[in-house]
Formats: sequence, C-alpha cells, structure tokens
Amino acid sequence: MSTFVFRRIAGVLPLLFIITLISYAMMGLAPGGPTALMVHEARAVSPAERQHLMALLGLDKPWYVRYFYWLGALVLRGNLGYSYVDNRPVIAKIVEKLPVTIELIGLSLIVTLLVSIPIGVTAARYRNSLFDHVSSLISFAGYGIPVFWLGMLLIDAFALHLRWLPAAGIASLGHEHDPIDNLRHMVLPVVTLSFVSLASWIRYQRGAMLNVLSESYIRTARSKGLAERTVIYRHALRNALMPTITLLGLSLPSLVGGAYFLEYVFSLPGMGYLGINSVFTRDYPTVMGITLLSAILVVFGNLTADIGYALVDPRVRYD
Amino acid sequence: MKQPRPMQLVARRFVRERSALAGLAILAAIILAATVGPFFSPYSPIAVDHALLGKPLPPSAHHWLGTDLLGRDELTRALYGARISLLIGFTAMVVAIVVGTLYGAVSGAAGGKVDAVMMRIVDALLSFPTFFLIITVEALTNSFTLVIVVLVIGLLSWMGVARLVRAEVLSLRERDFVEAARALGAGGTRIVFHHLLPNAFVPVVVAATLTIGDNILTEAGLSFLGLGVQVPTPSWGNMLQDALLPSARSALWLVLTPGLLIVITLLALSLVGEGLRVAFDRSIAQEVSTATGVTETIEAA
Amino acid sequence: MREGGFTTLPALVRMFALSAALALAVGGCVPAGANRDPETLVAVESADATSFNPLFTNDTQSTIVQSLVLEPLVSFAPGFKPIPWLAASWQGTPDGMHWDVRLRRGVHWSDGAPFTSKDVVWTWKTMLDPATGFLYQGQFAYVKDVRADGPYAVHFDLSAPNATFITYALNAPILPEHVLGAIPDAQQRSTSFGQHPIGTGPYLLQSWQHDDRLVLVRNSHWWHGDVSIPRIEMRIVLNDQARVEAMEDGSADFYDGANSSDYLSLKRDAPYLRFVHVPTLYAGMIYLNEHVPGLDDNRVRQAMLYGWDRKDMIDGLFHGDDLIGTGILTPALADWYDPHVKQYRYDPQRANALLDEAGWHRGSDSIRVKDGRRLAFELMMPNGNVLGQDEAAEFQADMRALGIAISVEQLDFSTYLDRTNTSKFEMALGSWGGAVDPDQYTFLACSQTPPAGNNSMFYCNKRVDHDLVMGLRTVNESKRRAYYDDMQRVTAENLPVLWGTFGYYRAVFSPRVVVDTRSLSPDQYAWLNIWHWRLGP
Repeated sequence: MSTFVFRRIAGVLPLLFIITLISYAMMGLAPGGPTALMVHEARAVSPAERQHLMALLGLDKPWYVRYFYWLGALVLRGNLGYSYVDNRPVIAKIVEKLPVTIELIGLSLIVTLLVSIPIGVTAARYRNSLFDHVSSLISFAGYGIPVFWLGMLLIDAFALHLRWLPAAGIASLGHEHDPIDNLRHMVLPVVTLSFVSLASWIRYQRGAMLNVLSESYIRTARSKGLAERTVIYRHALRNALMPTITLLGLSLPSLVGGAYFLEYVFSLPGMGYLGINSVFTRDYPTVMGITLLSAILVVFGNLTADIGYALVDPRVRYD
Repeated sequence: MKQPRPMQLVARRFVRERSALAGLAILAAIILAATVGPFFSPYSPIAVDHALLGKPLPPSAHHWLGTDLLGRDELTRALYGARISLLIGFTAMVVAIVVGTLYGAVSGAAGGKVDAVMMRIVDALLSFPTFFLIITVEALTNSFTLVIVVLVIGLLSWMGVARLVRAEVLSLRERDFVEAARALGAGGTRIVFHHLLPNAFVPVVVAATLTIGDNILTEAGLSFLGLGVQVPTPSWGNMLQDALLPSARSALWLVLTPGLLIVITLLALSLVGEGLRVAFDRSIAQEVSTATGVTETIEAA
Repeated sequence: MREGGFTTLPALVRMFALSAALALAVGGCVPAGANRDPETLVAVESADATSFNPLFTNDTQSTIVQSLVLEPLVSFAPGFKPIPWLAASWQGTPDGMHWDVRLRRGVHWSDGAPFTSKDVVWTWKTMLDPATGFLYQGQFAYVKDVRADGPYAVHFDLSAPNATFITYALNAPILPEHVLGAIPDAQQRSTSFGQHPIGTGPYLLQSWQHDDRLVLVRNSHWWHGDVSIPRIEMRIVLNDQARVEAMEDGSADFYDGANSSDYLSLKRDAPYLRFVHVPTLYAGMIYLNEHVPGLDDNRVRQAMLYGWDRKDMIDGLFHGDDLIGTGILTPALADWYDPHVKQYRYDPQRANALLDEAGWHRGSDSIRVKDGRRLAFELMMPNGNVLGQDEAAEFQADMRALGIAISVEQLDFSTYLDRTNTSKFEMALGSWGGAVDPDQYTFLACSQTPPAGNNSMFYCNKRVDHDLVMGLRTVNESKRRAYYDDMQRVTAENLPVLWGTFGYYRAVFSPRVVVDTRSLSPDQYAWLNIWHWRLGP
C-alpha cells in the first residue's frame, strides 16, 4: 500500500511540471503585459519607457527562457519570485489570501456533506417515493443553475431587500476579528457554492446507497431478522460512505474553480480574487504561484480520491 | 425466441422513464420555440429604443417579458438568445466529442507508455484553473466570432470525454470479439473504428447530453465576464450579464428570464441524459457474450 | 417501516429546522455600524495601493497614499495653480533653460533628518538614470543637469525649454537621500521603501494589511503646521454594495471616487450625507484609427459624432449624471478649458448629409458602400464593463441608423491596452486625461505615433502640431493659452477621436467631516489639502 501511495505521489511531480509549463506558455503567448496598464494611470507613460521597463523585468526574453529561470528559482531556492505589481514576494501575497479561500471551500464542503448525505441516503432508502422524486428533481435543477446568477439572486433577496445578511466582503468595518460577523458574511457565498455541488452529491450518495443496498450481504442481514434501522445505519451506510473520500477528491477541482469565481462575484479577498486580478494585470509571478498552488490542491485531491478508492476496493491492483 | 433489436429495446426503456420523456418534451418545446419563435416576433432583438433607455418596462400585453435597459423586447431576445446558446452548446459538444473520442480511443488502444503520457496531459489540463485557460486563449484570438467561442468551450470539455472513451476502450480491448478480430488479421485502426468505438459510444452519448448543458453554463460564465458572445447578439449568458447591472437588478423579469431558461434547459438535458443512461444500461446488460459464445440475457438489478 | 435514526424523514426535518434556526440566529445579530472614533477618518476605497515608491508606480491609489507621506517641490492649489511647497521659490531664465529653486528651510524627514538640497539632487539623479527604471525618465530627459547650490538651493539645466517643467518635473515627490542613497540605482526597485516609506509629509504610515486596510497617523512635526485629523484609515472594500452600506450605516466617513450608481443611490437613500460632484480630469472618447479607410475622412468622423445621441445616452444610461464631451481637455482644467469650440449636437440629418457628401452611399443592406468597401468597423472595448457594453450597443444602434455597421469586440483589459497602444484596432472605447497640464504632445503630435508616443490614432494635423510644439516650449502662461485655445478649436473641427462624455469625480462624506467641498479637486487630487479637513462631533 505504501509503495502505491509513494508511486502516486511521485507521479504527481511530472503532472505539476506539465501544468506549470502550459500556464507559463499561455501567459507568455498572451498579448499585453504588466506594463500595458501604466499608460492610462495618473500620467501616461511613453511606449519607449514601457519597453525599457519590460527589459528591466526580464520580459524581453522568450517565455521558455523565463520559465527555466522561474523553475530554477522554485526548485533550487524555494522562491516563487516577486510580484510585478508591488514587488512583494509572491508567497506573502498568497499566504495573506489563503485563509479566505480555505474557509469558503471548507465550509462549503461541510455544508454539502451535512446536507447531501441524509438526503441521498433517505432518497435511496425510500426509492421511488415522493421524497425521492422531488429531491431528484431539485438536484437536477440545481445542477443547471449558473453559480453567479444564484449568488446575485441571493444577494438581492437577503442582502438588499431583506437586509438580513451583508452583501459582500468578509467582515464589516470595525468588526474584523469578530467570528460571528465573519460567519454572517460567509453565509451567502457558502450557500451559493454548496448549492451547486449539492446537486451532484445528492445523486452520488443516492447512487452509492442504492448500490450498497442491492448487495448480497445486505439481503443476508435482512434475512437474519435484523431491524431495518440497524441494517441501514450499521451496515449499509458505512459502506455507502466509503466513496465519499473519492468524491471529495474528485469534486475538489470544480469546488476550487467555483470558489474562485464566487470570490470575484462576492468580492471576497481570497486566492481566486488575487489570481483573477493577476491574470488581468499580467502579474506573471503571482499567476504562476496561484496556478501552482491550485494545481497542487487539485492534484492532491485526485490523489486522495485514488487512495480512497483503493482503500475501499481491495480488488484494485496496486500497480 | 426472437431478440428485439438493441435500439428498439433502448427506445422502449427510455419511453418507460416518465421523467426522461418529460425532459425530452421540454427540450423539444425549447428547440421549437428557438427555431420558429423569432419569426413570430414583431420586434428586433437588437434595435435600441431611445425612448426607453434606462427604463426597463415590466411584462405587459405589448411586451410579454418586458423590455431591457436599452428598450429591447426581452421575449424576442430570449428566443434569439436560445438559438445562440443552444447552437453554441451543441456545436461545442460536437467539438468536444470528436476531439475527446479520437484522443481517448488512440490513448486506450495504444496502451503502455503512450497511453500514460497522453493521460498525464489530460490530467494536467483537468487540474488547470480553467479561468486562466479561458483568459489566455481568448486573449490570443484576434477576431471574436462565435466560432472562437465554440472552439474555446469545446476545447475546455473534451478531456472528460477522452477519459471516458479511454476507459471504455481499455475494458473492451480484452474482450473476446476483439481477440477474435485480431486473430482474423484485422489491423489496429480497423479494430479501433469498427469494433471498439461502436461499443464505446453508449457512455459517450450520455456524456454528450450532459456536455451540452455544461457548455451552456460555460457560455454564461464567459459572457458574464464579457468574453463570450458579443453585443448586440443576445445569448442567455450576456442577457444575464446585462441584468446584473445595478440599474437593471430591480427589474426582476430581466434577472429571472435568462436564468430560469438556463435552469430549465439544463434540467431537461439532465433528465434526458439520465433516461438514456438507464435505457442503455439495461440494454447492454442484456447481451453479454460468454466464453462459450452463447448469448445470455441478464437483467440488471 | 418508519424507524428512528437520522435517516428518517422526521429526523431530517428536525435537522433542517435546527440549521435554519442557527443560520437565522447568526444572521440576526446586526452589528452596530457607526464609526464614532473622533480621531479617525475612515475612507472606503475600491482598490488598494501597491507601493509608496513614486519611482515605480503610477496607479491612482498609490499616487494618493504617496501624496500623504511624500512631498514635491511644487504642489497645487484648487484649480491646479502651482504653489510653492518644499520649494520656497523658483526662478527661470527668460529662455526657460535654467532654473534656480530655493528650498524651504526647517523641513525634516519623519526620522528627524533635515531636508536639504542633497535629497533633491539625489532624487533627480536617480530618476534620470535609465538603470533605475523610473517610469517617467523619458519624459524628463530634457533635464540635463541637477546640482546643489548650497544646502537650500538647487539648480536645473534643461536641454530645451519645457512648459511642463513646473507642473510635472517640480511636482515629482522628493525621496530621502540618507535612507536610499547608499543603494545602487539598479537595485532601487528591490528596496522595501515602497512598503516602509519615510517622508516629509503630513502623515506617516502606521500599518498596512494589503487589500484590507491602510492606517496613517499624523506627523506632529510637520513643517506646514498642524494636521487636524490624527488618524486616517483607508479601508479597501472591493464590492460596490458594501461601500454604499458602509456610508449608510455610518461606519465610513469618506467614499473616495464613488461611481455614478452608488452616488445616485446614496443621494436617494441617505440624503443627509454630503455630496461632492466636480468634473474629472478624464475625458471619455472613442479612439479612431485613421489608417483605416473611411476613418481617414474627417467628414465621416464628424458624421459619426453628429449621429451619436450622447445626450440621450447620458439621460438614459447614466441618469443624467455626466456631461457631453467637447474635447480632450475637461472643465477640471479651469484655466485652460475652452468651451467655445464647435459643438456636435445630435443631428442625424447633418450626419447623413456628410456621409453622402463623402461619397458613401447606402447599399442593398442599408449599410453604406464606396468603391466596393462597406462602411463597417470593429469597436474594441475592455471586458466586464457592463455599462460600457450598453453604451457600445447604443452607439452601434445609432451608427446603424446612419448606415454604418459597427461590430463590438470585448477584450480582457491588458490585451485591449496592448492593442490600443500598438494601433492594432479600428475603433476603441476608452478615455484619456488625468494630467494637470494642457500639454497633449504625446497624444496628438504627428511624430508621436507608436512606438514613439501615444498617438495610436495616427492623427496628424499641421496646425495642431504647431500648437503642441509651441505650447510645450512657451513658458509664459498667457502666450501659452493662445496655442491651446487654437488646439482645442482645431481638434473640434478636425476630429482626432469621437468625444464621448466628461465624467465627474464623485465623493460622499459623512456629516461629521468638516471640509470645504467647493475647493475639492477631482480624482487623486481630492486629498490635496487634507490637513484642513476636520472631524466634527
């Protein structure tokens, strides 16, 4: 088992290499650059000036050369470079923003789990009941909701009209260290993010439960005269929950992507917001830092899924 | 006993699923509305009405779904927008399916190191923060047509199909009929195209319906950022974006129309996809060739 | 069979009820918003500054915070008249090539060191050295030599007379030589000065959490005198709605640079606040690439302007809260703006007549054609600006009525800038301005097409060129004015771009801020006389 894990982790490195290479290439090939924005601020900077600046930043070299230096700095010195925008270390900028994103994804995962498991399990248990049909319908409908539309509707309803919850941000002025205030601000973004992933999670849990319920050992347990409650709770549920680890891993990419988009919509200063802004300002070092970190998150999510899958199914060969 | 042809069985099973039928009906209605609806509208989807600038009208007898910020009839825009969004969703799906199927089939059939490398690339692309991909690809294009939008969206969704096809090809590779074909001297390409692909097509078809839905969502997201369908051509995505302007937010009919249309269309697509999955699932279980060459019928639970 | 356990329906209902109750309980606690700290002015900003180092940044936010901590030799009074600041007086030779600047005595850096000519000379030498990478090094290349004349006088030698010497060159912030002097020019970029500045100005940087909060405290040894407000807290609030809420519940005192819809909704919902509304230094416009056939004909350009109903657009889309643009210079430059130029009131008849005259006649699809070429152009704009999109759609509709086909292309901002800066466009929706001097040499001169300058329109008019060159050279203000009046008149006839709208700089204050709103300058200059502001009860 440990060799399996080790080999999987070792396999992650070439993956990260490819991801960073592709990112750097795309950034390098995209028109515009970090100096383009300087033309329109306070007083226009001349094109000659901008050329000079590009040279100073090393941007006159082709992208593969710059990639080589970036990779070298990262691998040899653990240095993610300095932002073009304010010359601060990229690592510092990312670390500032990480807690918000982690909070958003973490809370959403918790909410999704807490809601989808009971619903999915109940839908499976009372198959073809009204509850099953209604929850299926809701989850199908939920899958089709554009996440930013839902977010805006919730803001309009709960923040602008009812004034129950704040419209954006992570804290009210003067309440920065107030956890209750912070939670209030996270309610709408978390609900929005969870809603969209709930749709598929309910289906998965229902499917997993259905599969388990049709297994022979369940029939055996029932025929032994065990109470239905014991059958469901003690035997079926535990086995039905096993794929959850895999699911967690598999849904991480879309959760991360969705969180980034939502941060932009709700103006939450997290990694996604920083990343999207950095793409717009062509702050390549920051873009690369965030791409790398997101890729690591996602890749390790998949790794967790694979391991979880292997744990669950002893028939999986560890090759 | 005469075995009914597989496709007839599939169709029969599909029709038995009421929700799938409902989905199909909804889809048909939307497609019909999108195709012929615009001809019945007295309004233009792009003509700006100066008298109504900045003052969207609520639904009335003249404008069944009201007007938007530039005085354009919302229902007309929704119908034209349906054309665009559905077209984009469908053609992008075709792009994704074609690219993904080829890629996955080649990877699965080749096996070994080639397969490993190809799948690593797919993994990498799937782990990519898609937003960056979108921005940079869009930034690289010089002209901004529907073709580019379709290509961008299609190229974002082929990876899942590739994985699916590869998995199918891998599992089918070792099956008897492939061995038989090989024993009879059939070459690699023939095996791929004549034997593997036709059997792999089932999960692909199901994935295709879901992909159309994903593509419509992606188009909405792109248009929300201004990088999708360009003004003044309406699409559900950019109608959503228009509706989220502060001056338009209070006009509920503008906010709800495109959003609900997307939700309903995707709901219909999911129901149809689910129906197809169930229909095909049992059908496949019906014909399993055993080692002895006898065809057995097995009912799925 | 209904059993107990958490998977049963009643149990689920109970769980949902509990969660809902919890959510409402959490949601129900409304924090008291008002900021009653009598010592702190809380300003809400839509973006964070990036650095306090003026050598390497020119974004508006950074310029604002820099102006509170660092100071120039010459500053501005309301109306942008140059006034002595760290410089006590200045004197130039009649030919404008040599300047003597006397420095103010008794000024100290925040760490106690005295301000002397060493600081000025070092700052200038560093700015002019190409190795440093100073953003405006090219613009100041006409400054040949800077040398000290004793500890309180500096002498400048120019290679050519330049009318912007006082407004731009002498307005550059001075940096402390004793802090940065030992570091080689090429490494100035890597110092931490941008995050830990030392200046002579009214405020000192106390703390800075990026994208969150920046706190400044007053400099009690400031040479100018007393600073009323002890603390300034700049809160970066990214979301429009949140900024509006902060003003409404009293937790913020100053909404710096409010956008039109926030301004109008605050006026409607919180009329007890104080509202400031002054023309901004930026002019909205549609750039035209005059190398594109059709756009090279001034009659076509004039026709487009006549055929664009800007008044209707302002009333409809901007709720009447903008001005129709008449040129490149805006009313904010009160001393230079000339409103008596050719106006372009909405006149589609005149527009059509001009197009006919120019030889463009309606084709079968009602789009005008000439020599087999359709009158069709691509309008570029940055993405994500929904209001701009509506503006573009309206422009498109107006042009279609004239028989001109406009297709809109949205690009991400950096790409859009890159394309406009390198003239890879036909038409582009944008803006220009921000300068406190009327000079437009880099924007309109024939020689200043990319890559030399910012004339990406390829505009070339001999008379305007003459005005620009002479205007730049003439130091005498009344003589200068003649050139810029002429420039404005000629560019209104021979259009370089299509004038859009003149926007407003909008600011909202809470009632307890005592500030002379009539003398507030627009944009980043709103903070010019911050030491006069007071916090009332």
